[in-house]
Amino acid sequence: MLKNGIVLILLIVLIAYSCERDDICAASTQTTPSITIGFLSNENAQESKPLNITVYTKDRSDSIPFSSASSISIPLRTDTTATVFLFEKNPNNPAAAEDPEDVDTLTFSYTPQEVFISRACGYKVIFTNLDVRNRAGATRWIDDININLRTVENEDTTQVYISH
Amino acid sequence: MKILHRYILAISVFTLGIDTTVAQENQGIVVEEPLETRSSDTLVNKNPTEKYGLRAGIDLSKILRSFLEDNYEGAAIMGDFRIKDRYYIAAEIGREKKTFDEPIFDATTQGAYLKAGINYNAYNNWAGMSNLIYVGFHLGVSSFKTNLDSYTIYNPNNFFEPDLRTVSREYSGLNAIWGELQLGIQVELLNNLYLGMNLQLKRMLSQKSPDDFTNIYAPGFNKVTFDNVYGAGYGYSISYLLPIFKK
Repeated sequence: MLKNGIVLILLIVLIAYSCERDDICAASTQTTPSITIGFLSNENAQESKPLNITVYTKDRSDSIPFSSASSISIPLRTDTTATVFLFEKNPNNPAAAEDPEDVDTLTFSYTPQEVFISRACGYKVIFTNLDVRNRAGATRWIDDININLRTVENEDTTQVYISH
Repeated sequence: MKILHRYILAISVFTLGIDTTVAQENQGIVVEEPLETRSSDTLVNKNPTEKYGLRAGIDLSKILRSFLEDNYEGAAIMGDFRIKDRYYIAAEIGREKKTFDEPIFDATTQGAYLKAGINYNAYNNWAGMSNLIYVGFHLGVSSFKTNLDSYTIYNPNNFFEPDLRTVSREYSGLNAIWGELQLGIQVELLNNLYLGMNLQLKRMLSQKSPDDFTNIYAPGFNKVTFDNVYGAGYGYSISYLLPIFKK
């Protein structure tokens, strides 16, 4: 009898150590979106115009390069109401035919809104009241900025168009 | 987990087997006595005394987990009362506190719960024994609160440093109601002292969750998953039977 009891107590210890399954946030879930920016021709606003561009953070500590991109997706800061990016066209190419290496400073301002998704994904932030302002470089390469949608809540829509 | 439970079930059946062997040995001893008493022994076997009473106990697994797991505290008392040959009314009262330190949030849920229902003993006992292998239908209610201490905004793009937000939000007045199917055993270790084990399969019937968060845990129910109404749990108990009358 006592032996059985000991076996049972050992089993209890084993059970107490058993693990629990964690939920995984599915990749298809819409979480915090990046902003999508499309590049258009300054001659024909219907025509997309790819370019080589590197996007830097304000202090140039980090960067995202894109080559021959007609559309780019970049993240916005979720903890502030504005994100400043340096947009460098034709990086490392001071002899480009059009707009040789030049930097424009773009400020994206918005209202971040926190939204609860699920247990596995937690909270996301979406952005409303989007506005973009340009502080142009020595030779301004951005001709025009058009805001298509002032709300960034998914990555299916291009929110901003830049013509160059 | 499933395999482990199957193993436990095998062990428990084995344990019951030993009990019955002991009982047979006892009968063997009785057989050696003079014939007159042997006939009376057969009579006892035909009309065995069955104990009726209140079995009250504590949940061992919750106590043990409270010691072993840093983010769990819990305790429960339970009891059952035999109302008919094979039927018992059973109830359990407990409280639990569980902390989740997950990558996307740190939160603690605590509260109390009550479960009540009917157990049906499917085990055919040898004379004079009162072990149980039972199936039970219980209804559980739980009242609890959740404290959200911090969370990180979920961002698949890790270009910027994670946006960790430290808050102290309390969501109180939360509740849950669920139905529970219990499969369990109660083995009489010593006279009137029982060791019990059970496996619980639950289905959430209704819950009140926070407006801008979710229920992560419900005391008595266990972990609450986001879009799944089913849950599972287990319990180990030690209880004492207070015999009130014999039949």
